[in-house]
Amino acid sequence: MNSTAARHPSAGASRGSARPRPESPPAKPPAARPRRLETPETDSSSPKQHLRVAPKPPRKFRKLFTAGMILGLLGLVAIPFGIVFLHANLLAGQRDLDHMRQELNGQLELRQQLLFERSLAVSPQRIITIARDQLGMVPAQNIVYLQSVNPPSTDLPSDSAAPLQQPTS
Amino acid sequence: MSDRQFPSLSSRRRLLAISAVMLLAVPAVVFFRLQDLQFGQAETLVKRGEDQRFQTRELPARRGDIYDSQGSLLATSLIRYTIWADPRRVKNASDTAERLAEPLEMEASEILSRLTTAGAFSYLKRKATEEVEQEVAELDLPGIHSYKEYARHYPTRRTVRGSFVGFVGNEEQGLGGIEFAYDDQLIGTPGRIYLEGDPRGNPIATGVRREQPATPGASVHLSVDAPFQYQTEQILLSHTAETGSLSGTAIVMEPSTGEILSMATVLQSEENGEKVYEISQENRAVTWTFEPGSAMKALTFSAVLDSGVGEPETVKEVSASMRIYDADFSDHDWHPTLYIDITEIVRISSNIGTILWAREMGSEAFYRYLRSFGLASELLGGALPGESPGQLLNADDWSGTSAATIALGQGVALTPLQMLNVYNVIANEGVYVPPKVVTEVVSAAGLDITPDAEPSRVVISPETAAEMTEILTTVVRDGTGKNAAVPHYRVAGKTGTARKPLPTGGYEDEDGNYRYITAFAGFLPAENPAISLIVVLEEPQNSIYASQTSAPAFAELAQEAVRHFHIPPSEAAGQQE
Repeated sequence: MNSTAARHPSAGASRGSARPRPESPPAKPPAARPRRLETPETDSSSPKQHLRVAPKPPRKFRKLFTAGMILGLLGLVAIPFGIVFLHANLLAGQRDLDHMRQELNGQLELRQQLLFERSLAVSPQRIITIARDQLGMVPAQNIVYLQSVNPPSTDLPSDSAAPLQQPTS
Repeated sequence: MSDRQFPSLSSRRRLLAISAVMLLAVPAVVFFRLQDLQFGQAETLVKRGEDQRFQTRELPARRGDIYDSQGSLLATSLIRYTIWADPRRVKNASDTAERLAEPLEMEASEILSRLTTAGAFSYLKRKATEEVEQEVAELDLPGIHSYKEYARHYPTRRTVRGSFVGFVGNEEQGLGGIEFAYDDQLIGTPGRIYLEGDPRGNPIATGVRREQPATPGASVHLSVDAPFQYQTEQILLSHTAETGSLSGTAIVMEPSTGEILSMATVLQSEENGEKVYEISQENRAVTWTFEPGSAMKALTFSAVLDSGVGEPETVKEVSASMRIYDADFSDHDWHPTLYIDITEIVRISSNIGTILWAREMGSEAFYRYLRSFGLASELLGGALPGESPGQLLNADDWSGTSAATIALGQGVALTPLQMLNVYNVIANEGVYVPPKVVTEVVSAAGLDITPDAEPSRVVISPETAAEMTEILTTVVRDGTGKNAAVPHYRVAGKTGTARKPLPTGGYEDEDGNYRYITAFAGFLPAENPAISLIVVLEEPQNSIYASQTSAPAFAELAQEAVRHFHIPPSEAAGQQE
């Protein structure tokens, strides 16, 4: 494409050429600059006098509205996720609680089992059976109780050793 | 062009009508069905759905424990497993039985018979341990299941169980002893879980779940001291065997609290012609009655002194025998007419002297004292099942000789516990403290829920009790009870030798022989009684006298008791020796 031919007729004038200017075509009206619409004069005599163009909301309000919409959409997406997250947390907490309760019950059962085994272990019959059958203890024919020589006195300390008398049966 | 013939207009209309009807009918049917489901069957269907989704499971409550006075377990419940089969779902029953035989320690044939029974449930093994349950679970056999349950365990010997603790049935219900008497407190309250599950019964994690936890049963604390119980049994066993008695019964108590520290019964049986003595599970201390003989004189003279009829030093003329209506009474040894006071009458255990004082007191007053001392009543108030109230005729039904015979401990039947409680009253300065075997019942929450005990009451005055204590110490110091003496301790007690009534009535058998029951009851140290004891021997063979049979057993048991319970000796023990 020839760029000269395509040049706007007014372009040469700007350069200050000496050549006579060709007859210029009728001036094209300048492009209408966007202008804010004027509120038309109300004509009280017009039959549509109650109709008028609503004013555009202020720019600040529009931005807020847009931001609100975006936030709202985000919220709509986030809330289900939040609920799911909360529920998952609750379930995890419940599971932990159940686990701890189970562990507590297990420990209590173990304690009971140990108490039971302790009672079995300290049973006099068991001790005597082991002493007699495994360690060879022979029960005495008579039980001998050792007696103190002096009449007991409450003045003596409890750990004082009293002289022993001959055993009696 | 096709020569196909279009249906006529009427046919098309008919077709259209049928289509329209069908198009309308189907939604109509659906609509009616929907409204029927929504309004007609809604309730039923909702319930059916809930039944399928929601399930209630029972959580078994752990039965409470039973402890002795030292806090040792006498009975407890531990987790065990029941292995069961659903015979309908068992595949290859014989192979299943073979594989289960080893872990269950059962014969395969027995398991097979249980796997082939009709129905959907068959027990294979109950009360299995966790290890057994794990082994069975690892086999992963179809139709074999298990569930958790509690099983009762007794670390103590059978004898303690028989005397105190008792036992439970398969479903953990109390059937004897404390287990039966305190079943309501021990059994606890089962819990429930209400949860939402899938069709297989697995809980849905996010589903509904409501849990009411089980409340374990209360724990029962007994007054018995298990190690001392064992010593009591061993001493009683040796003396029952030594004396060749048919049976022996012993009780050791703390008079000030009424707590029973030990209670034992030994019974003789025959095996291959030989006499065998065994600790019995039968608790004769409260279930068996006997005529106590002279041991009753402690009660008789407590009544005499307390009613003001006589003083310990009041003298009476006492002959060796006497006749009341058609009955002859005599002392066990002939003696010339004596002028002796009450202390002496008790010391030598004079029957005639006792009868004279009892008659002077009068039947009505005597009967009141007998009841006041706790005769003809169940002292433990049902704490031990099978307790006998004994036998005591109502005063209105007494014959002319009743007061005399009862004063001597014949014609009246007491349990060993009732007899010992008479001595407890004297030891407690005249106050009757109800005996007890349960000291405390504590709920799972730690609250004391012990049933209210019968209140104590004054039976005789403290002065009378002190006088009786002095009289009873003379019996042991230089009377019929010398063999019951315990070195360094002042012992107050009384022997009792009574003829044993025959089952057919009367006392004399076809051969003209009598059978005897001997007893010795008392307490020590006399000045500050810490323990009271009774030993009763039935038909001893070595001697018919309590001084030779029951008194030595009493002495040995008392020595063991003062050693075990760390009872300090009497300050005035020198008087004893």
